[in-house]
Amino acid sequence: MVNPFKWLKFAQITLKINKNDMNNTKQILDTVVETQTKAINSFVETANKFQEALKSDNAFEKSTEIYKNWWESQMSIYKNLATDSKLDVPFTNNFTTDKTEDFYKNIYTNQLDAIKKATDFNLNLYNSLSSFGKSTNETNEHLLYANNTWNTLFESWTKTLNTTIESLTKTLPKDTFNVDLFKNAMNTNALYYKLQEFYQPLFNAFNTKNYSVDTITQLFEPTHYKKITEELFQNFFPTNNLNSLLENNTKYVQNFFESQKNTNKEFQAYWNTFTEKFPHLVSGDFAKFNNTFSTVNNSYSDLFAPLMKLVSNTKEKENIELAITAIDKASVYSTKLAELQYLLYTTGQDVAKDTATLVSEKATDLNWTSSFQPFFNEWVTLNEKHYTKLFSTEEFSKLKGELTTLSLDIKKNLESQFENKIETLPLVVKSELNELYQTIHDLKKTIKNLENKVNATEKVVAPKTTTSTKKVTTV
Amino acid sequence: MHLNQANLLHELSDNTSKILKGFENLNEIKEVDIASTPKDIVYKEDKLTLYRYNRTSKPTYKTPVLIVYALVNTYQMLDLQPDRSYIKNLLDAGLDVYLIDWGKPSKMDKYLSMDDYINGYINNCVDFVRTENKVEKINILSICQGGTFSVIYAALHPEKIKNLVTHVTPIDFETNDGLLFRWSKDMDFKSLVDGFDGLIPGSFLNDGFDMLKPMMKVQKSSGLLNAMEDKTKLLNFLRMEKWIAESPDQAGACFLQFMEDLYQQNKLIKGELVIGDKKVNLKNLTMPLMNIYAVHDHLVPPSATIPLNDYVGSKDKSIYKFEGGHIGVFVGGKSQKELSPAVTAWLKERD
Repeated sequence: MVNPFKWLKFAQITLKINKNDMNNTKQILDTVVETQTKAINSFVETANKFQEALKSDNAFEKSTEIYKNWWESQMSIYKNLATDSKLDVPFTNNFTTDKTEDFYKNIYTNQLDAIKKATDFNLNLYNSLSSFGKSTNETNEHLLYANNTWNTLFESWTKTLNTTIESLTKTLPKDTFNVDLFKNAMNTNALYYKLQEFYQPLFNAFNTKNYSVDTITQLFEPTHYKKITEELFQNFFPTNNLNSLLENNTKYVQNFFESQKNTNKEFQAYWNTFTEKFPHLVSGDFAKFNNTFSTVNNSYSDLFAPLMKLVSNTKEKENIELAITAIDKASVYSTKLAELQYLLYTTGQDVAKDTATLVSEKATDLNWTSSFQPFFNEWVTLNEKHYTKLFSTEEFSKLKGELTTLSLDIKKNLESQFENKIETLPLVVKSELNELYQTIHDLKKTIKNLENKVNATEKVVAPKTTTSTKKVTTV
Repeated sequence: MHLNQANLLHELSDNTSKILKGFENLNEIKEVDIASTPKDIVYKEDKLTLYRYNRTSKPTYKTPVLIVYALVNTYQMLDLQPDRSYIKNLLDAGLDVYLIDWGKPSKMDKYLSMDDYINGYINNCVDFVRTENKVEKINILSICQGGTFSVIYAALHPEKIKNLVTHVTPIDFETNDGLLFRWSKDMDFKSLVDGFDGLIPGSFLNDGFDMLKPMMKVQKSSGLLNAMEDKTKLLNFLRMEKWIAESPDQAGACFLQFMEDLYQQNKLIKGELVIGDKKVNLKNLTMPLMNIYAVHDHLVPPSATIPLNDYVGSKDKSIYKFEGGHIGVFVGGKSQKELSPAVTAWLKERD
């Protein structure tokens, strides 16, 4: 039996929630931002005190005290966050319940996680101070460990920000155009920190005087710079669609031959024997494989061409031919796409080289090292210069043109296959509509021309109005 | 080189705060208003709408002005926001302003050709404005591809145009200065139009424009982080983004002819371009001409715009150099004080 009092209490709480919704949302955000600011300010202040303490005679004692005060202050700041933000009720103002709670939980968990990592970092900084006077190696070891912890902190922050904002953007009104805008801003933010992470070894090398050819050479590896290149030019790195296209069309062709008196089994057997006897013709690069497959396939098709006459449904036959063409084109497309990707990767490599040179030139410029922003700005400028140069080459222009044409050919191919499949259904297809559009367009034009002629004629024959004093004589 | 860890953490914290504040601001912005200067619909044809802008006082110019924008993107950039509105500046200067809104083509419009746009739509709008104002000739202000169309129109119907002003208009396509001009030489446009089934998506064009400056998105997003905290700056940013996003599709037949005959074969300059059943002879363009180009235009480089003056039959012709980019010509801060005064003064002398 339903307890009426329980439901009444629930209703009371719900009503109260709705009134407080607007305030709750803002309060949460304000509290989070305020807490974070306090925590960071406190940390920065402490880091500066540490650096000052290094200059004094009793660095060890001072740093111990500084560290203790800082730890206590951080704990109290986060304790307040937990209390201030502890709400049992969900939000409803433009937020869905689960998303808001996720967001809140995410931010809170991350704050604690980050402060733990920052603690770790500071502990190592403290250790490096306490090993003051001991061997340089031990001090450097602690500093390096602190740096690594720092990188982990960055990663943790950017991951959290990305997932948090991902869930946040889902709460934005559906018809806003600026949802992707926010995501782009987040991606750029992530790129900013990814870059910092990427160049950290180089900065470390300068800092710890471990600068060597190996460090720089590592940066020149396209595979290391790969992720950044892919993030910059996402459109040129599609994988899933192409794979599924190849897979589906291959399956379709295979199924057709299977249904056509097991012709495929014979071809499969033929192909397997061929590849066993001539492995060098199908190994190595994709283009070679493709070429061999086409040649074998064509000769096999010629051999069994008469069998195709058994296929009575011409649309089915047309579709098979279309599917085979789609596979061919997709193969060529993927080869050319790989060529284009190679150009992008190697250009990225050039950017990395120039950036490394830039860093070595600016290594002693104190203005440059106060923030990562000047480095980021220079890096962006270098990218713009190199990629614009690449884009203006004939090689890139031709490849781009070919890829565009191929991708649209494949698209058209798939549309034709689809149209053939639904031909027997009572549906109007694109090609029929195109005929209609052409007819309508021609008719409209004819009507407008006729209207213009009529208007022009009307102007010519319109009677002139005059006043005459001539007497009319009636006979 | 040593990166100050404390400062880095500050940066991290700053960015996070900005993002959170930005989210709050984004959530509060319900509508991004652009093109808000009041106007009336005075003529409609198919998807085209002809507007006449409202005036609070009588115009001080005898000759009305018809603005012909490009088919790519929309005219709304000319009226982006009240303090950055080329149209408002023209109205304030005393002009009676009409504007063609091409609308959003659908598959039904895939067979619309350059002839349909130039000898059809533009001609009908010109005739409407002439009839409504009881004048033989009107002024045309044209932008980018709208300028190319207007130049062709003026060469075919010089008796209807009093003065012609072109802004950042591509005329000579021989150059490879801009990436668009370079890439178009290697593109199979027939396949492109066929592949898109006769209607070129606006998003396809936008992707191409984005690539002209490879790092533009990164720079823009980086700038966005700084603008997010300030609601006014954020709104200004969003207005531009809204305009960029609302890119109409292109009618295939017109697009194909424009790209093949102009970008690839440069027929207009060579005197080989045929529109309808007439060959276009630029020497027939004899009315006063003001040709405006932008020095840092990466979409339509100056080398594509400047040559117009060498080919027309006009005796009264001038070239105006604007220190800015393709869009900056209209929406930049400098533009508000420079462009419309220059154009309106030039028109006044020839009213």
